[in-house]
Amino acid sequence: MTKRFYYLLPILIVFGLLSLLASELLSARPEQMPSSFKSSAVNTPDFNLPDLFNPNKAFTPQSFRGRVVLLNVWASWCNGCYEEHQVLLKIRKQYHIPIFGIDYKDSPQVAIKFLNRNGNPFDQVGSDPDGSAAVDLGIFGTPETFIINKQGQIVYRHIGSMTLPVWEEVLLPIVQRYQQE
Amino acid sequence: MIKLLFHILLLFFIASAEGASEDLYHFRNPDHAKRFTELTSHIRCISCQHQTLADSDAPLAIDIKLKIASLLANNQTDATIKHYLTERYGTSILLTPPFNLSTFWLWIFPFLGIMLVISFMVVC
Repeated sequence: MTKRFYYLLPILIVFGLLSLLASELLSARPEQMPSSFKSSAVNTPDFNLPDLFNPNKAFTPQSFRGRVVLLNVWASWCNGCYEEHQVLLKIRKQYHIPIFGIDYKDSPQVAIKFLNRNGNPFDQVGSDPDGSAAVDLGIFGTPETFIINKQGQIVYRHIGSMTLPVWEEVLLPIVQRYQQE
Repeated sequence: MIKLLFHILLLFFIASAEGASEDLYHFRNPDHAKRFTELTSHIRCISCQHQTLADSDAPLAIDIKLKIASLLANNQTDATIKHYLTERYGTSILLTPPFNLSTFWLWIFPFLGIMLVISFMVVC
């Protein structure tokens, strides 16, 4: 009996490992990144960027302190950002949520043209040509959207282009919850 | 002759790569350059996964390397730099995962497996 168990043991171990592999593969969510900036309240990194429209003016986390805001990392060369842009305009117009932007590794002139042509949903945009502030935020790519509470803490992070259903079903309830605090 | 030419050409490319690397990250302190090489060869490229940060020229990898260079220039320790990166990108950014509760089985399983095989061989 014991000997039979020992013969079966390697098969059981291989079966167990294959089951573990299958469950990990099937439950993988590539859009959910293992970062503490994903959903726990951490302070917004202390960046200091020149304003896109007025480089003499600074854009820092102090610019949105005391309000629940969206911080969107975008670029004029990014297709996903172009798709998301209409959603941001709608959020600004319909829901009156302040939106701040970080223009990631972009030419300021091209970014300004982009906003003039497509509409500007942002209260203020910081220019981040070397991607330093974006790395401080732990971004994987553009676009990414952070919800920041009144205390200046990141309370939610959306990776990728935000659609209207995602905004209405996921992000808006979080924003409303933090607005009532 | 061809072999000699090939070696000279190879030396030229190695020298160019070294020079380009130093130019990009502006190390004034040779110790920082050494620590930079050591750190980036133990950190995973986020956007390419199967390369180290040192080997990658992906745009995000370059941004992270520039950040590491600036943290070194600000006299940050290796531990602080690794903490900075894992806070943002998770522990999977480290090519050598730390030994803790979540990685316990990852570290223990090989030894456990060897012990099981030995006991299997002894019994059978």
